[in-house]
Amino acid sequence: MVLKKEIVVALAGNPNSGKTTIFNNLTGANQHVGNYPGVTVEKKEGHLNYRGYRIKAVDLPGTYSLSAYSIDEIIARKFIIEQKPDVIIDIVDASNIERNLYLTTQLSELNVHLIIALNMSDMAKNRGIIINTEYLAQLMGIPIVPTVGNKKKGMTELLNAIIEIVENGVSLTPVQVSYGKEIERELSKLNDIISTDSTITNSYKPRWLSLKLLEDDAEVYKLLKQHKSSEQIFKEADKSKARLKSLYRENLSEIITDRRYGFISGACSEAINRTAEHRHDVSDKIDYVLIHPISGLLIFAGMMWLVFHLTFTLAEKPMEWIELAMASLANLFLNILPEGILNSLIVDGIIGGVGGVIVFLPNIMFLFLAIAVLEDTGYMSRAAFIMDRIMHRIGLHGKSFIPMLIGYGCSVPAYLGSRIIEDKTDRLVTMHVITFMSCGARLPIYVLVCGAFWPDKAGNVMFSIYVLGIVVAIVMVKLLRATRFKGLSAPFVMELPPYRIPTIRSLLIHMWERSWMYLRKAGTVILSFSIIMWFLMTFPQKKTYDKDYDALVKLANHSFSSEKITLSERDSLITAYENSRSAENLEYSIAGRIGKNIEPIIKPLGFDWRLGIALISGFVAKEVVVSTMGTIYGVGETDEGSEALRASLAADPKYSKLIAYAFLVFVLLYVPCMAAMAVFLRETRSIKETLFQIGYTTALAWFLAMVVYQGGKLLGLS
Amino acid sequence: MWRWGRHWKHRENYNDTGSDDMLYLSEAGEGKVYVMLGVGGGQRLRQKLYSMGLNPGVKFRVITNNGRGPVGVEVRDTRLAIGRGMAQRVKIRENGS
Repeated sequence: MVLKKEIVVALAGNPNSGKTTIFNNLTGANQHVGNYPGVTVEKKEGHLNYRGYRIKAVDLPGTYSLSAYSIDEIIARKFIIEQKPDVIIDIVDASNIERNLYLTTQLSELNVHLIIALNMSDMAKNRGIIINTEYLAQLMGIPIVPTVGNKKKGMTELLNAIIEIVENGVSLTPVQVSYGKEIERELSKLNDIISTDSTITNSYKPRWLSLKLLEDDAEVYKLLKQHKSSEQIFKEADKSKARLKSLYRENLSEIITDRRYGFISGACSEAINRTAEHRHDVSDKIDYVLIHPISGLLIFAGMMWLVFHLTFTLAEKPMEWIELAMASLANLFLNILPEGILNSLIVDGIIGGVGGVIVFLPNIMFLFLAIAVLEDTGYMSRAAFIMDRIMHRIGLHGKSFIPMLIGYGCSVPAYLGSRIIEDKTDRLVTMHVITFMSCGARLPIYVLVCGAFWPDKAGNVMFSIYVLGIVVAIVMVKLLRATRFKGLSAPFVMELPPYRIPTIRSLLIHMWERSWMYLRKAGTVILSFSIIMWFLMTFPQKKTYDKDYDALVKLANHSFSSEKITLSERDSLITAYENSRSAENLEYSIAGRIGKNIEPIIKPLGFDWRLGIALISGFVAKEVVVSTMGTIYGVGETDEGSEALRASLAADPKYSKLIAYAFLVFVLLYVPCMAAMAVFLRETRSIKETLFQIGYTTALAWFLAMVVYQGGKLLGLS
Repeated sequence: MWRWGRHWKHRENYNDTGSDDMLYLSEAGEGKVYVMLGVGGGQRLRQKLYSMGLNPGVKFRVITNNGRGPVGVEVRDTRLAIGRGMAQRVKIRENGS
C-alpha cells in the first residue's frame, strides 16, 4: 500500500455564504465535530479521498473579517496562521459579492494558497448579477471556481483546483490592496524592521504584521511581544501611527477599510455586469410581514409554540419507548441476577444511568431539528430581531428567548440550544438563568405539594411559582450584568440572510451531529454522576433494622394461611413493611445522613430532615423528589397523583401551607439536576461557571425560601 | 487629540462629522436611502459594521425603523439588523442632500 498524502484544506467565508453546505458536500458523513481548544466554538473536520490524496477539510467559523474583535475571527485566523493549511477555500456568496470579498482581501494578505468558491452563482444570475469569473480571478489574483452548494455543482472542479495547486503550485498570486502612498510608505518601513528578525518572518508575513500593527490589532501585539525585536518594532509602529494620524482626519482603520472596499468595487465594476440595479424580491415581502412589530410577533409566538411542541409533545412517544425498553431491560436483570448489591448496581445505577442519558435524546433531536429549520431557512435571525426589543431591556440577546422557552420543558436541551447565541457573554448569562424557567420535571413536585395543601386553588399557586421564576430570572440577569458580566455584551449587529429552502440532508446532518455530541460528551458525565448518586443512596447498608421485617412478613404470611386475614390485607401489610424497610435504608445511607445533617441549615426554611433527603435526591432528577418522598413517608414508590402521599403530607402536623410554599420556592430555584449540570459543564467548559451555577442557585433558593417562611411567620401566616 | 481641539469651541457639535445634514441611524425613516458617514464610539462596533458592508460612503436603504427595537437596513445586497443602542451611534446623511 502506498501511503496517501494528506492535504489540509480550510474553508473560510462569511456566515450564510453556504460554507457549511459545501463542507457537507465535500465530506459527506465523514465528519467530526469538536471544539477549538478552550472555547465553545464548534470545530468541524471531515475527510475525503480524491485522486490518491487524503483530503482533510476543516470548516472554519464563519466570519466577516479577520480582525481581532471576535473569538470566531481570532480562531479562524489562528488556524490559518498556525496550522498552515495547504489550501484555503474562500467561499464567496456571488449574490452578495462585494461584502464577501472584504474577507478575501484579508485572506490575500496572509501567506496562503487561496481558491475562491464563487457560490450561489445561480442566485446571483437571477438577481441580474453577471460575473466574468475569469476576469475577476485575474483582477484578484486568485483562481475562482463557480459552485452551487445546495445543488452540489462545482464540487469536482473545486477538488481539481485543490489538487492542481498542491501538484503544480499557484499560477496566480493574490493581488494586494494598495493602501495609498502614505500608508504604504509606513508599511514598508515597518516591513524592513520586522524582516530583520528571522524568528518572526519564519512564521508570519511581515506586510500582514505591519498592517495589523497600524490597525492596533491587540492579538498581533500580544504575539509579537514574545520576540526580542518587539520593542523596536512597537516604537516604530507608534511613530508611523502618529505620522499617519497627523495626515488623515479619519481613524486609521477606517482608511484601511475604505481602501479595501475601494479595491473591491474597482474589481467588481470591471468584472461584474448588473442588469438590474435593485430588485425587490420575495425576501422583501416576507420580511415586511415577519419583522413587523405586530404580525411579526404573532408569527413568532406561533413558531415558538411549534418548536416547543415539536420538542416535547412529539418526543413524548419515543421517550416512552425508551423508558419501556429500559424498564424491561431492568426487569431482565432483576430476574437473572440474584438480589443484592450487583443487581442494584446494574439495575438502579447503570441501567438507570444509561436510561437517564438517552431518555433526553428524542427531546434533543427534535429541538435541534427545529433549530436547524429555523437557522437554515433564515428565520432565526428574524426571530432574534423581533425579540431583541424585549430581551434587550432585560439584558439578554434576542436569541436568548429560544433556549429559555425550551427551558420550560427541560434544561438539558435548553443549555445545548444556547449554542445559537454567538456571543460568549450573552450565552453564559442566558445559561445562568435558564434553570428559573421551571422545567417539566419540577412540575410533579408542584402538583403533589399544591394538591396536598391547596386542593381548591392548586392551579393559582402553581402559576405564582412560574411567575416567580420569570421575575427571579429578570432580576438575576440584571444582577449578573451589573457584577460578573459587566459591559461585555457584544454589539447587536446581525445579518438577516435571504430566505432559503433548506435541504433535508443538511437539516439531518445538523440534527445528528449535535445530538451525537450530546451523547458522547454529556452522556459519560451523566452516567458517572448517576452511579455516584446510586452509591450515595445505597451505602452504607443497614444490617439490623428497627423492626424485624423478615419475621413480620413471615407472620403476615402465617396469618393469611391460617385465614386470620384476607389476601389483600396480607399484601398491604407486606407492602407497608417493605416501604418501611426502604425508608430505613434510605435514612441510613450517606444521602440520608446528609439530609439529616443539613436539618439545622434548612430549619430556618421550616423544612425537616425528610424534606432535606427529598431535596438531595432531586439532584438525580427533579421528578425523583416525589418518589423519594413516597419512600420516606412510608407510602412506597409513588407518583404525584398519589392520594396516600398527599394525605400524609397534609395531615403531618409538622407542615403548614407556609412551609409548603417555602418548599415550592426552594424547588423552583435550587440546583438543576445532574444531567443538566453535566451538559452545563460540557457546554461552558468551565468548572468555575458550573460551580457558580450550582452555588448561586442553591443559595438563592435558600434565601428566598427563608424570606418566605420567616416573613410569613412574622405576618402571622401559617 | 486633533479632533478634540477642533470641536472644543462648539461642543454641541462634538459628535458630528462636520456636515449639517448629519443624523443618526436611529432617526432614519423607513424606505429611505441614506449614505453612511461613520460610527461614533467603540472600535469593535465600527469594525463589525464595516466588515459587514456598512462602511463610510456606502449607500443603503432603511427597511424598518419603528422607534423601538433594532433598525433593519439593506446594504450591498444583504440585510442587517442593528440594535437600537448601536443605531444611535451610526452617523448617516440622506442620499442626495
